Amino acid sequence: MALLNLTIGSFSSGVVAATSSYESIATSSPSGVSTITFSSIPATYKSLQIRFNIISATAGNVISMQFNGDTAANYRYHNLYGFNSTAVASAPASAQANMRIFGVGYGTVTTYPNVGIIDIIDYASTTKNKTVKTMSGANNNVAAESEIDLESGLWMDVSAVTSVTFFSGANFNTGSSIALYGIK
Amino acid sequence: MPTSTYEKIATTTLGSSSPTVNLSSIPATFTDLRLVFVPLGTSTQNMNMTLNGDTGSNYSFTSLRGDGGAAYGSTATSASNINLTLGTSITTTNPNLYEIDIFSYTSSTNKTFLNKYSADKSISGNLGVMVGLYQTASAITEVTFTAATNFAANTILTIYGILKA
Repeated sequence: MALLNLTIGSFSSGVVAATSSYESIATSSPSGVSTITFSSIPATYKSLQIRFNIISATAGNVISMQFNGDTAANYRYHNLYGFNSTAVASAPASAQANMRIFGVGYGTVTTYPNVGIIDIIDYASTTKNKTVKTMSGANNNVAAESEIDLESGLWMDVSAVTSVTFFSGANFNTGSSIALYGIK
Repeated sequence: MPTSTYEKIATTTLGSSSPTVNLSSIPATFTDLRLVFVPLGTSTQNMNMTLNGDTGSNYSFTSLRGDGGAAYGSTATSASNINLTLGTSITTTNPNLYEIDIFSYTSSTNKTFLNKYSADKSISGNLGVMVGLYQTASAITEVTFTAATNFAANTILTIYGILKA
């Protein structure tokens, strides 16, 4: 684990033990639902990472996220995305009630995976708003329906993140996976 | 001791020039793969990626990239490989960096991946991201990068495995 592990040496025994700094916290394999929540997230890591691989029941939907059940307009985000052979930047004009993490152009595709990696930085801080970086995309071999997204996100709340809710306009089908990791 | 969820599977460093860089027999014991590829060329040239040795029209990709002056989007469908040098190239002295995440690489559904890359040269430069699709129901067991001519010595490919709970 060259990138993320820390190697600890023991002077007394001379044995070198490797410990992980990238750990799996929980995984959901949703089917027939459009919302999933990771709750009781421990505050023992520096950052969180979420990797999703979602099979969507219908096309053209947005996938979004909320923290700690907060449904008020406390989220901002900006998008840079490639869609149908164009490069586009966009952002909502005002604060939103959730944070979009995929689907600025066409949105979800069906049959083929919609994937992404989300980094939530310093999530356990109780003094700072929370910054999020997302890279996501989907491709179904149709130029006008495939997109690659980069998103920056902000949750304007200094509370530690203890729960993350994912939701979409369509159900997650069998084969979907959303995995939560902690980074020390 | 916590279970390690991010492990190096294999790495290869070219000792001399070669038209391909390949890692095969990738175990099916992880959830996702991350490829870290740092290529050099024997000359300025293009290169691509194929999976499982498949050169059929089973790939598609959509990219977003920028150089010193503008941002671009592009897409390709039913391609015979993944072009990793859109708007750029590999060169003899300035290595590019590719980080490619392949999701659920052992699943029985089609495989989607995300790629982000950096390709700065002495004057020009290019960076980008890409979402790609490989249409297959087979697990991915082999990754191959192919240069238009040859990769140079000290080209490095490393594959990591990522586990979920």
